Amino acid sequence: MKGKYLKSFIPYFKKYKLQIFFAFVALIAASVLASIIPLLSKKAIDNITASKNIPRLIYYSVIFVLTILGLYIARLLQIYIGNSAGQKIMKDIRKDLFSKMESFEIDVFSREPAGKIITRITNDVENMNDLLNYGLISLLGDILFVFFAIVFLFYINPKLALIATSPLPVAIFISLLLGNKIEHVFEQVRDALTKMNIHMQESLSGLTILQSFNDETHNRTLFRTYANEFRDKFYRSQMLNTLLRQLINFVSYLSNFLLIIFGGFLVINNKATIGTLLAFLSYLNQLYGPLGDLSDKFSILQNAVASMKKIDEFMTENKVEDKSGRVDVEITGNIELRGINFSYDKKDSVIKNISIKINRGEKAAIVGFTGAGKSTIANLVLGFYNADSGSVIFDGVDILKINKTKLRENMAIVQQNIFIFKGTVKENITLGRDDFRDELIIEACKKLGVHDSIMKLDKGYDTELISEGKNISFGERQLISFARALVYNPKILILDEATASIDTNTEELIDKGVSKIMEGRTSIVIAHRLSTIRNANRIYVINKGKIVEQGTHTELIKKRGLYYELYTTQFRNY
Amino acid sequence: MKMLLEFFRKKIKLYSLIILLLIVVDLLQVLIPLFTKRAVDAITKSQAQSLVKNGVLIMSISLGIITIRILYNYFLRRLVLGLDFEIKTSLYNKYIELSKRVFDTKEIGDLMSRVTSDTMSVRMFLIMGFLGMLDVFLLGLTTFISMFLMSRKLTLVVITPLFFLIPLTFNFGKKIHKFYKKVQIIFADMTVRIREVINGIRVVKAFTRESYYLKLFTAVNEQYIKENLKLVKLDGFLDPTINLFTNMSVLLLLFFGGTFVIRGSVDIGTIVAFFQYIQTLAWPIMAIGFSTALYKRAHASLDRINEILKIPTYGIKETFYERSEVACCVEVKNLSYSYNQDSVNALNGISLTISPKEVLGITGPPGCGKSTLIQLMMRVYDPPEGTIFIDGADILDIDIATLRRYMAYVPQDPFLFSDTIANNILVGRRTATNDEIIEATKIAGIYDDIINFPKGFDTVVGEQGITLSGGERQRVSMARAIVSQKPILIFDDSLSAVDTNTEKRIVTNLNGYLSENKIITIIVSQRISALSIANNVQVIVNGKIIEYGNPENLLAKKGYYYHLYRKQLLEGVEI
Repeated sequence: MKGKYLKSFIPYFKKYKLQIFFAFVALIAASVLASIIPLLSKKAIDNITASKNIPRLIYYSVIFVLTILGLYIARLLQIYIGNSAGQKIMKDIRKDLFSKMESFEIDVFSREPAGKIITRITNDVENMNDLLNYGLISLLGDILFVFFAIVFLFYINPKLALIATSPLPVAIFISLLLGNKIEHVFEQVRDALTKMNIHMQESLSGLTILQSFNDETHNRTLFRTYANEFRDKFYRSQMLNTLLRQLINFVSYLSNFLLIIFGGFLVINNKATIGTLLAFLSYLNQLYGPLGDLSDKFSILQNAVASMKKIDEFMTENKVEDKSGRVDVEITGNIELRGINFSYDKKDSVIKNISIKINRGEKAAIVGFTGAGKSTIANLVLGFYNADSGSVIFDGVDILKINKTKLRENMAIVQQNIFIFKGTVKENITLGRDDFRDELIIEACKKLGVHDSIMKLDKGYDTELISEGKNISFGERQLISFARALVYNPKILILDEATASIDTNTEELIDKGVSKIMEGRTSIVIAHRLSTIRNANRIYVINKGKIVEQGTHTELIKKRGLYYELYTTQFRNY
Repeated sequence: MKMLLEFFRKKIKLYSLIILLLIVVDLLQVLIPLFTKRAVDAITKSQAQSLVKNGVLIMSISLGIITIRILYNYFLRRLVLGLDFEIKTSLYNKYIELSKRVFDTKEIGDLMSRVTSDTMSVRMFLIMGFLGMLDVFLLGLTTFISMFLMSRKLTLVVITPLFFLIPLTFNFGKKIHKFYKKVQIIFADMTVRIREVINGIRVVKAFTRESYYLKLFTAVNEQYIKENLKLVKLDGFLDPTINLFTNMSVLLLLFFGGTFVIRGSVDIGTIVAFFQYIQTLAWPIMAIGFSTALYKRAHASLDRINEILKIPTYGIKETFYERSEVACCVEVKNLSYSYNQDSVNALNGISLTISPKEVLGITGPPGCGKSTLIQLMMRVYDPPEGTIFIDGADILDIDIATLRRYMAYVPQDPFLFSDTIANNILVGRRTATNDEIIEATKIAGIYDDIINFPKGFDTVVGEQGITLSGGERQRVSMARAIVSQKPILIFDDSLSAVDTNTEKRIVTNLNGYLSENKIITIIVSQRISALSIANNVQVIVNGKIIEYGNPENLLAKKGYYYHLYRKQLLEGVEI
């Protein structure tokens, strides 16, 4: 089962196989060199006690220097190469995830919470990096060292090795057993912390409510309970951790004790040397070290695998927009909606049998109450959703047969919810298209009458805007989104409630500009404010998903129907 | 730091014990190499009895060390976590009483991080930093003395490489936090880039700019790995470097020690003992660098914690649930208000009076000042002196907790906690009985919906697919206000998301409930249907009352109220 999730990540690792290979070579070299050091100490000590040969001592010292320098270099290389490979792999995965996310169907974004998508691309990928560097490499390094150390111990003196390392399995057992338990308690610590955080988040978000109902004491008590639980669990995990480390210390002391007593007797009986004792002491010291966090490393591995599974599910469960289709269609601006029915959830119809025909260069307006289904029409024209039945046709070709990128390149939209990205005013107008010359942008803005207000900003077109444009006024954001639509010079322009929530001053400004933008293009204006649509070629009045009236402004006013009522009530000055 | 001293003064006995244990354990730790030396000496002299004796001594000392380390950790962590708990709760107790004015200037995330990460750096300093320093001093000094007594020459030689560790770890401690911060900031930037593409996906797709935003993301993505690798260079290289210097000490020990042994000026047991001392000494020397960094961070965190604890609050001693009564009336007298001195008045010369059993309706276009009026009545912001009165007392003279016992507020955007429906309603009044809760939900027209949920009143809001609709949330929030039994009920556009039939039912229920109890009701709404039960409707436009009267009279005036009525009739709203 697990293998299935891991499989999709293999190509990412393969790309850096040379680096990963070198990291592993360095790792093995480091483990070997580290395990040689006590052996060298033994030789030096033996020389000191037995042959007392100074040149030979110098010889060992030189080898010792080379070994520790070699070890240093090997470890630095292993860490650097390993991490840089790991980071690059993460970068590649992130880039692909982001790119795939951009191509998801629009539906995915209303279904999946933003936080979840973000976590997949950020934290879950981060956990995978831990897999490579903190999990695999470090665990493997420990295992290799233990292996070589034991080999050398047995090489030096098998009998003593057997005796001195006899407590080691006990330590491994304790480490795994208690480590597991600690991991379990630590999960409880995290839970307790989460509960405390959730309570804080909740009660602070609802602070006004809590205070207005005099509910402070209750919340304080709750917080105390959570903080208490966190304290107790955290305390428990720390004590268990102390216990684990001290138990391992105990076993390691026991090893040392056995070594000194039995080793000592061996030396006294001339079956071993002092150097042997020292080498053993040194090996044993390092042998018990990694046991303290053995289960830590296992849990990092588990975590990483869980994250990989989540990423894989995220990638396979969400559908990507189908952008295949003809690119040879020439979009000139003839649009037809033919007998369209649509529902978001395949149950409650939002659009019922709507047919609209707009010729190139014409201006169609769609009006109606909030929730009548107007914006859904924009979604269908942009190809964000496909109709349940009926079809959207551009210049005689069904939208299902047209490449969506190609199609959208010919359209521009101004929405009620204006979106401003982090970046300059200019970048927000061009959305990063660098083939738009500055003169073109300025010309467009002048045409719209927004050039002056942009120049009034701190740095004019180079003013930095923060995400969602919170550092400029709502009206300014709206003007930027209009300028955006204009510089793209689209064949089809969609204004989706574009002036719904702006103040009257801005509206006046925009009204003038808007008629200019629409000149010479096919435009669809969705509105519940009606001043912008008086000169539309055709006005469609939609109520409860159906077209209830259609015609020009004059015709509809004459008719004295819903449009007339809408129009007259709106032009009272409130 | 004062706060810490205060805390430790209270726990002086426990603290002294901890320090005592530390001293003892450090002394014992120094003894081990000493007895190892003796054991080795016994070996070289072939004295089996002495070997066994020293071996057993080493084992006993080891057991002693283990026991004391466990005890030390037991007391220390108990102490530190106790302090941690105290800081956490006093921070939270402050938060819960912050006035809206102060609260609005803070980010919730920032407030939370003071409880979680700032307390963590204090904790780390106390466990590793402060006692770490003491440990360094004791262990370092005793080890050094012990080595020095064995062989002066050798000590000086062997210890030299270890001193290089001090600037190394100091530099590390200084930089690592900064580096981490930087990585975190870029990580946050990356999150922003993803979030904005998710939120602006329609624009990105409609303008086919996917490739551009991928490019922007890639830039942050690359910067992130660059900073991360810088961090690796600092963090990852520390351990091998320490290892290198310790190994250099070992080398010097072997070479010079070896030469000394050959010349006969030092015995082999000393070499073995020194071998062990080098391992012990590396840690205290490193700790000097770490502790300084930990201290600096803890200091900054304590400042952040104290900044909160210094904020004055109203100080709630106990919560009262018993009901206050309005005997006569709530009056607003010639109230004008502006949020800033230089901005336009949000309210201009508002005057009105409401008595128990009366329903006041307030309506007007968005931004007309309706919500400001309500916020001033509730003292979310303080009104000017002499403008709002309850039973003749200026509300500025009523203590805030008492004032809140008068009013129950139902906002337009209802806030529900991620808790059960029952608990959400209980926020209104903790002493409410089950019957009272049921009664309140019946009035709010949500009872039938609740009992149709599989878990009824125990349904957790927002969990496992049971997400309440806007209208349902509003009605739960309304039940919460009703159950509070407070004498003034304020509905701030609270039924905007409820469909008209339900609204009609609720308004009828409310009418009955309000007249049975001596309650003042204020309904702020844009909907004629909600205003229909009002005795008196005030229409506010641009901060001024432009018309008022009972609904029938207002209709006859053919003004704002009449047009609101006409428009809603058109939209097919049943009135």
